[in-house]
Amino acid sequence: MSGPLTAIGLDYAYPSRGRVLRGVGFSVRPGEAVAVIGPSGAGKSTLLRLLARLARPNAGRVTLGDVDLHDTSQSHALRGAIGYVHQQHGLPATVSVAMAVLGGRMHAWSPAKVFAAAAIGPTNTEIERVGAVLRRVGLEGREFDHIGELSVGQRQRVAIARTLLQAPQLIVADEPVASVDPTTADNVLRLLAGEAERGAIVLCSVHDVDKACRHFRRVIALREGTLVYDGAHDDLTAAHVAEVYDGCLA
Amino acid sequence: MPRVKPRPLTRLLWPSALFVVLAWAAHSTEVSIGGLLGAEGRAQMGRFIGSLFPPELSPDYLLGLVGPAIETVQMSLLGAVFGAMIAAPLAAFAMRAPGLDHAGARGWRVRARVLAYGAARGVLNVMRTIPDLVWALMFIAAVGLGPFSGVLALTVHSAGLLGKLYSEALESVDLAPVHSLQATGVGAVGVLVWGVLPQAAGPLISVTLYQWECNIRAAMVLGFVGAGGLGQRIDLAMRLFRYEEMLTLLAVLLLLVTAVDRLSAAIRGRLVRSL
Repeated sequence: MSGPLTAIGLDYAYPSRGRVLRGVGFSVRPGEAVAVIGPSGAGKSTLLRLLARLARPNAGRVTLGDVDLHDTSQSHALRGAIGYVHQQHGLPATVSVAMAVLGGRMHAWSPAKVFAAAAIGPTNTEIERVGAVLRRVGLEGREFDHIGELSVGQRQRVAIARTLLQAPQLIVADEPVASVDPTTADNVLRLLAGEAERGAIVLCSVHDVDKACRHFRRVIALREGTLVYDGAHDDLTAAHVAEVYDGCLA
Repeated sequence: MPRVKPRPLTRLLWPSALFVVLAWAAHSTEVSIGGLLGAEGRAQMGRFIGSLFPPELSPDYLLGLVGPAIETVQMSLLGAVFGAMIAAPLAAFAMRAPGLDHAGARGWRVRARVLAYGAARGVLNVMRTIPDLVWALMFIAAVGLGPFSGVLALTVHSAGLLGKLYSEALESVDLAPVHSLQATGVGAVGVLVWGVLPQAAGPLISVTLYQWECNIRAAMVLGFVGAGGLGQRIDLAMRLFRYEEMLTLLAVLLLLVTAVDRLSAAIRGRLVRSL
């Protein structure tokens, strides 16, 4: 599957909060890494949940290439095409690092393989693959540690390793550096943005505008559910930032 | 000095209502402190306690209790294990599926899922609502007197309780790991095994072992209606006014419950630590 990610007129409303997205639209080409910025409650996480197929828009559509992401008949075709990095790493504390990383390949597993992995653990070949991506995120030799034994920053790097192993066409990361130290944050964002070099589409929400501009060439800004900026990071001026965050506690 | 806001009288409404309900319930059920601690009550209680001593400790009698005691433990264990085996698949359907608005789960799949949810909840409610004693009476009518009826009764009741507790444990997991797997396109089995169970395993093991402990006590009661085990011996001792045997039987029950309690605590600790 290849082609751009295109969002057209996305609307979304929570029953308790009302509308949080209003007619959001943009297009991202393969090989592009985009930062999504905006104050809390602007709709960043909701937009990324729609792109990760964790929710359906009330109106509008999203396509990856020529496939509608929310067309139920396309679920099989989209298996493995989307990688999602959660704000709080999204890894159960009781599983091993190797199994957490292999979550990136699990979409291709049969139920029998799922149970076999639970009963006897990963194969040697799988361990080698896991080791290769763990080296890229600076966690070599930690395959058999449990997630619960790692620091928050290390867990987030495991989540990135899972996405690297999956090598999806579209990577959606929701505030992946919200709870890690500045150095780890830079490493995580560099790895995510670097995935665009192999042709992936990367969308990553970031609270810190400086970090967003440092690692991503293109920036999308949301305010109160509306797209208020879409352009190159070089063109994002102080006036734009003020427009996005003015009157808000960013 | 800070001013203290006076408590409005409405705050006394609920405690007062509770007191009225309790007083009404006590009156309706003829609760009487005098009946228990009055002269006649004390005398009767004294006679009963006196008749428990000395407990029956002859070697022949004690040896004769080994079989029923083992039978009680076996009934409780089988009831818990078979109940867990029935509860697990029912709980998978009886839980609110995380991310049900996921794009791959719409249309007829959602309708089928909602239907299965309602059916599983209904079955679990029936299993749980009917007391194990009533299940035992029904199974005795179906398969006859003996421990098999007890095992069946404990299985059905345990399945109802465990199914509800399992589904609640599964529902309370952190959804972040679930969403991470769902977004990549992992199927329902993979999400359950690698997103949900690693988080829920501790509570699932705990409630299953606790159910085993409860089943020991329940197995005793089932013996009163002919479902085997130590309970049948207690019923016999009561009917024949052999209260000295009853004290021995109660001591054996205490030992069994304590042993199972310690054993299940040890198993629970080891399993949860190893996860």
